Amino acid sequence: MLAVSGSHFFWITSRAFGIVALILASAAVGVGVSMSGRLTRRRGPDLRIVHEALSLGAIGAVVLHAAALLGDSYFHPSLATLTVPFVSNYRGPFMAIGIIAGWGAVLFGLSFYLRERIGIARWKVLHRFTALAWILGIVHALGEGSDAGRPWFLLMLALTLGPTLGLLGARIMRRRPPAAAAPPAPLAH
Amino acid sequence: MPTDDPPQRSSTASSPQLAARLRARARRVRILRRRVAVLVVALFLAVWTAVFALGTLGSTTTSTVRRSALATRVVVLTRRGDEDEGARSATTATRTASAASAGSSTATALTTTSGSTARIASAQSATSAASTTSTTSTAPPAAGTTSNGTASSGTSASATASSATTASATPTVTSVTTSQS
Repeated sequence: MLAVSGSHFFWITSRAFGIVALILASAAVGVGVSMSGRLTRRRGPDLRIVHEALSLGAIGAVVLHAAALLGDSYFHPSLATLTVPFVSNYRGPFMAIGIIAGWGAVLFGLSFYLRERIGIARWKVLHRFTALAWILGIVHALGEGSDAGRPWFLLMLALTLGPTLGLLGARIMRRRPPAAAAPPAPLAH
Repeated sequence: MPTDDPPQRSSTASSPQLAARLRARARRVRILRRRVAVLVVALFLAVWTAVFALGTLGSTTTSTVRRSALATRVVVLTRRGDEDEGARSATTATRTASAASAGSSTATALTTTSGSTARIASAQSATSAASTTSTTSTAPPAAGTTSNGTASSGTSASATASSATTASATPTVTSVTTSQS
């Protein structure tokens, strides 16, 4: 298989890591939303460990997604092209979105290990932006992905993103206080 | 000033029950992490295979192998005369395809000269994103005599194939000229 893939080996590998990163990030966001919104009855510590492992896997896949491109002899990007937004001319906006999403996933994700230094409350606010990085990653995949129009890719994306988007929606709806249940303001006499 | 410090548990910190509980938890953490790691590796292999087999470049990779085998094909145009045994002229067109991108093509040339038929084989060749070149070959003068006695001194056929730039493009023979003198 490697012999047949030939010069496309790094290109295929990079795309595979990109898809894996998207799947793992979706799963990590889903587990994270379940934990924070208490949408599941599973034990919290176990979920936290799974969330952490999935997130680290996603971050590793993002790094390898970019690193594998360095070996591609056709695209032959520089390090700056892959790490600095708007440097690459190749599908500029979507590439930039992907780079921003990648940096966001790495920085917001790894901020977990600095949460005591940052402050728990501040970190919680910061950590929510990982969901934004995840959404930017989806935009990047749909806009730039070589397989974006393929049925198998779209099916995989729907199966992966659907549950997480549902959980995210449920979490947002749950947080919003119902207007009818709000206590009336006391009248001053 | 309120503090967030957890309550002191000095009396239970060294108890064997707590140690056993911590060991069990550490074991559970290891198992969960190992499961996720195995899942990630399996997922990567599955996705790599899917991209290779179903992806845009993955499917054309297969045709790259075929293309390298068919990189150069020679099309022989043979004219047969029924009077002269040696009246035979051949027009050879060589199509050379250089490999740079994906895609396969089929080029068919058919030339008919006066009174006799020239059978031209069809050649399957792959084309590249950069260029597909087709060379012109000229048959030796007075090489062929056709069935109705008309001698042909030479036959030249030139074929120019346009290059394909996309993976699924098919190059076409844009001009085939036959001249007799």
